[in-house]
Amino acid sequence: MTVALERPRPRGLLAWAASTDHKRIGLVTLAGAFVAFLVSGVLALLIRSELAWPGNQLLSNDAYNQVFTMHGSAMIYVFMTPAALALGIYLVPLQIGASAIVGPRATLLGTWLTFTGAFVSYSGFVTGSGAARDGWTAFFPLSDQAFSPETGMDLWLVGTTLTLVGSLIHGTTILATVLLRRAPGMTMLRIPVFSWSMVATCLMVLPSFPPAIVGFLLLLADRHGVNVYDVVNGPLEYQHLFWFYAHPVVYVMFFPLVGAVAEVVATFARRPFFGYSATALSLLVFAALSMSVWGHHMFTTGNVQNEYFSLTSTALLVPAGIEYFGIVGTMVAGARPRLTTAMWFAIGFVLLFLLGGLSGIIVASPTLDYHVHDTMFVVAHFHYTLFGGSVLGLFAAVYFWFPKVTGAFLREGLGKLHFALFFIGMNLTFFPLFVLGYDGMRRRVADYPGDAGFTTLNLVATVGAAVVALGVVVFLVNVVVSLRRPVPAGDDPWGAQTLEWWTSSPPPRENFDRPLPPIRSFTPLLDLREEEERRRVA
Amino acid sequence: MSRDWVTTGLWGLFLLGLTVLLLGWERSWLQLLLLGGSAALVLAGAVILRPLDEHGRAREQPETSLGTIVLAGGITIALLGVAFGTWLLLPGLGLVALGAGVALREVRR
Repeated sequence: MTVALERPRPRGLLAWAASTDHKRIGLVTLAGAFVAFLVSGVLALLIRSELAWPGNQLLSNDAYNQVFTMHGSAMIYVFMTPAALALGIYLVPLQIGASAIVGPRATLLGTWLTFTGAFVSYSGFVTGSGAARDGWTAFFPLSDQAFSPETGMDLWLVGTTLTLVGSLIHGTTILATVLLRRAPGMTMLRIPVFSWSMVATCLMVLPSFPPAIVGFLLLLADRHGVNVYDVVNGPLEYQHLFWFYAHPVVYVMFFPLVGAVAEVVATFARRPFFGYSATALSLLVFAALSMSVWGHHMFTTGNVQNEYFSLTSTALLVPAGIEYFGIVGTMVAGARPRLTTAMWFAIGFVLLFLLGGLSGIIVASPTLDYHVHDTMFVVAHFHYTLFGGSVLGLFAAVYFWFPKVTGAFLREGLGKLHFALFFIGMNLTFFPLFVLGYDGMRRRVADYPGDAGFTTLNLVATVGAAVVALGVVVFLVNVVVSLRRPVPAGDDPWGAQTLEWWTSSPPPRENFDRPLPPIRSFTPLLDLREEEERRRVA
Repeated sequence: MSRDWVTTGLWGLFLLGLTVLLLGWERSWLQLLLLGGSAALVLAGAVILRPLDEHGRAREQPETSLGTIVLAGGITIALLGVAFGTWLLLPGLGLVALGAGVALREVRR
């Protein structure tokens, strides 16, 4: 039983920045990641403005290269990966009935390495030669000293390495917490779906992040006189190290949100998650398969086993289908769902990630991938996955758990407006890119010929980006209004099913201020309510 | 003894199966090392985890840890030294030592 005496909590900025409380570390990490989202969002608007019509020279070609490089890098290394892990840092100990995370100071170290890494990466913009300009992939030899002599590339390598080490530490402490700190009665097959999704996520983080860290450090050494990659097959070996990290990281950014959406859907459909055990197993299979698909990013090199990587990439459909079946089954098999803002974001997540996943089948097929490789089609595919999927899932999580974290609701009206703007804007921005890419528009180009037939769809995409930006403004207004004039939420405003809703909102330092209820399934609070109902009827 | 290692072990076996499948194709040593090495790492983790059983126990922690932030700053500066001159290594490693020392003191207090 994890009951402890409450200590007075220190206040002030430093008390938050240096706190060893997993909830504060999670929130600080999430806040930092959100700042990166805003900065990278501004960079995205610059990209879309540049491409709005042909001949537009808002940015020079060189500045455009820096902007798309830092947009992609920050979104992946500084925003989405840390944000997904931050949810785990905050929620996993609460969901499994633990009083603290394993290694709280290591977790804090992970957060600060992520922050300092982000600062170092972005600082390339203030150097004389500008920020890195080689894409978020930093492929060799484009990123070597001869082709990229600028300081910004070195800063990018140092900064990105630090963010990866930070995320690796986060993954380790979250996994250790689930494995070692569960409350009595909380067996592995009783942990909530969100915590299962974090287990699968962290299992991928542990083996996939170190190769990229090694790959980037070797590239740094290569740029400073040690000949590492400038050998036969050296550029390919760099790509193997990079993609062995960079494919699983897509799922690191996605799985936690599958778990979050599963919790949202089960709560508002008012039933336990449908197919719990199958979903838990499918997450493990999905995570293992995703470690073996990295070569599909290298089909066009002609130097990987296309059959193997196509087979494993296509096989991902099976566990993905099971998870979809679980989420949709929960929606339709429960009571009529309550259409809160969190639920709308969850529905949006399911629809948009489906499009991202289905377009993934196309790029998993070598013959089709040869046609769309390095085009806007790929940009559309991964934005449907990461923006339509992960970002909408993240907002579902934010609207769902905000009352637990702050003790107050976010405004539902503003939330639904936020969702509508995001959903419409996201589709306006990225669906045209499928068509543009299929018709041959390359990615990472600052301009295109006026007679190529790309103008109208690019303009539509730019308008869509502005609509998404408006959605972000509405969200920020919602947060400010909800914090300044709070509507108290109570401990369990949604009638939820997992242990974090057993404690006060916000939770105390040691997480639980009263004994935990008996844990007999993955929905202990639902069990408790049903038991009370039975007793009342009897 | 807990059975927490089963999840990790099962996942390691999945990876091992995918590595064995890769053997059916002509592949580079690096590909085999990446996937097979991951399987070995995860299986080793399961073996290490097997005798552990710490359920519910959490060590007393300091409320805040400034030493950890100093440590992160030190690591950052030391790594910048690799790219921008070894003169940064000394202050970086100094901060690492300071941060680690403060962090140790925080535990003992």
